[in-house]
Amino acid sequence: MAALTASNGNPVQSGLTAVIIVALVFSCFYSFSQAQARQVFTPSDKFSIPQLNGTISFAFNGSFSSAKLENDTWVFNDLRFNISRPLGNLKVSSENSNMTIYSYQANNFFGRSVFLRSNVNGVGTQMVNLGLNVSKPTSPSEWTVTILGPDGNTVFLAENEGWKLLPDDTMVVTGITGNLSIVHYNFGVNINGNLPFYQAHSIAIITGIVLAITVAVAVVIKIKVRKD
Amino acid sequence: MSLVNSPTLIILAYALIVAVGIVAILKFSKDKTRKITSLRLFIQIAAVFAVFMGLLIGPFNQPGSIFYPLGISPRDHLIGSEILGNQFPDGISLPILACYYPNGRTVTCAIWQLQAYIFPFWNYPRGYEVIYSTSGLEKIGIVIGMLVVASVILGRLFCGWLCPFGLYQDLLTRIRKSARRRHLSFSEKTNTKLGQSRFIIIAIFMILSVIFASYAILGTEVIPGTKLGGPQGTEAGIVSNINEPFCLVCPMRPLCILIESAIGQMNYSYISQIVYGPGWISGFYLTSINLAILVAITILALAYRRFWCRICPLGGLTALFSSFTPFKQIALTKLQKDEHKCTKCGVCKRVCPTQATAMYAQKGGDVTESRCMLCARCVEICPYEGALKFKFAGKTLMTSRNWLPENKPESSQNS
Repeated sequence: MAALTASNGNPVQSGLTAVIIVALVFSCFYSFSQAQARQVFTPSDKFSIPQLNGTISFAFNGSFSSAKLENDTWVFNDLRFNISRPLGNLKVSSENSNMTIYSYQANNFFGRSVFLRSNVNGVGTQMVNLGLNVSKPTSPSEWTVTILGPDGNTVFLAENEGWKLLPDDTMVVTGITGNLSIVHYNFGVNINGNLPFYQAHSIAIITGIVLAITVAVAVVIKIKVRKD
Repeated sequence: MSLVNSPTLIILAYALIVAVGIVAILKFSKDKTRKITSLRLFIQIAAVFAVFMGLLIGPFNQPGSIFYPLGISPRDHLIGSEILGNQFPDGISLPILACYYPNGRTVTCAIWQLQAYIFPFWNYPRGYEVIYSTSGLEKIGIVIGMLVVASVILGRLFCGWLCPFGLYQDLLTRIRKSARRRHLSFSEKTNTKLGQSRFIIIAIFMILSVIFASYAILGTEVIPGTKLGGPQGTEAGIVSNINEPFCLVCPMRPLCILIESAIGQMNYSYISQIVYGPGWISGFYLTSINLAILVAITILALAYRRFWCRICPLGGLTALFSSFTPFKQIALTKLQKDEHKCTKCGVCKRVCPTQATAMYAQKGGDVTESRCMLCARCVEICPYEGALKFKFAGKTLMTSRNWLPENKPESSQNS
């Protein structure tokens, strides 16, 4: 039974490894096992905003945990399409137009962008709040608003050329019809142009130093091996 | 940052698991002709999980999951943006096909970086979800510096032991073997030409990147539609589908995207910012050229061992910085031959996945050549004690052993 003793080590370590792997795998699926009561919707469902003469709809079948009309704005919680991962929370309003949302990502687990892609029917105003969890208001330079031009190419709209940003990060789009895409990029870092040279170029300097050390060590080893 | 709220915990746990695995293989693997192969397979699989860890963990760090305290996926926060900052936010350059598209900013394929920093991000402050504070030339300098360091230290060991696409080809080889089909081999002349084609492929795609970036570099738009910039510093004006021309023909990208889609983790945010309109997914990520090349490479890799590695431009770059003078003189990882112990049996060149011949043809000493991926299969299979050695920094890590009964000395056979 010597193989099972802790002093031998390896069987114990292998067992621990197996336990860790199994625990990790099972924990991954734990979060998905908690089902909630949800309300479903289909592309034919219209979420109307009577005061503003507008509607909101979705291009795919999906569901949400709750939805309510507050101050002429639809607030959807835990929204998801059947064909995609959870989309997040969304506040959206449409005036004198019908807005069909066909892609939306508020909680982006991978990248640093959140976005809403939609089709707007009717010339009016749309207000979208993607629920950004940021400590201070975002800058318009972090936002990209695009439409599909008549030749099929993407047209990027500058600020105040059809859109503006409110202090609470609500995007207000006016006078746009057709395919509308709103993307926010959370770069998370600010460029400080006033940094001293060694800080502004530290990665290049460190890479150069590492390269020089590597070459120097390699040369020393080469000489040492040759002597031996 | 506390340890609990850091990806460090996951990295440490993962490193521990890999270390235990390596020790277990070294300790318990009895077959001397398969021991290194088993170790290599384990390390290849571990490397795939390490490279794509962000992709694998990302979906699970939601409320209720044990990964939730880690915050946003390590994909974005492990090495790239958080440590290298906006000077080099796309991650450490490595000479493996760690495809940028699903992988993000932990480690990144150096070919993607070289193309992207020539075009479209030559002196352009805004990348894919990142901001650059460095110039195009500085970023390219950093990539080449990292490549040279990696190549001098480990050489093409990256190809043999760490590259995810190398693992894919090795798995294809295993499938072929399980079907009891023999591999095909190229003639020496054809194989040499294939090896040389790597450098032509690099040159073509780098020249293409410079042509596309002509407006940014020279102020002249050689190809219409390649002018950068737009309202609010967006990417307007870039002809998106030629951003990184090599990636359009690289078989690794569609493979990654197919796997990513298959496990339900397709990254829509990357697509949405690039291509719009009907068919936008297929328009950028899965071009018919991409898919056709993946299918072709898959078929060829089934027939010829490690076919892609013979023409891989990234492998060519690594070879350039490790197998040719002056880098060859200082390369730390080497294959060495003792000509006095070699009987010219030829088993080494028969088992070599890329049909390298230096370890057979050359007399002795350093037999590492540009086609050699340092997989050490020849060291493992060579039946003559000490005839072939795998060395790092002058130290022997692996050496060929007497595993044929007739090669063993009398005393050891009797014992």
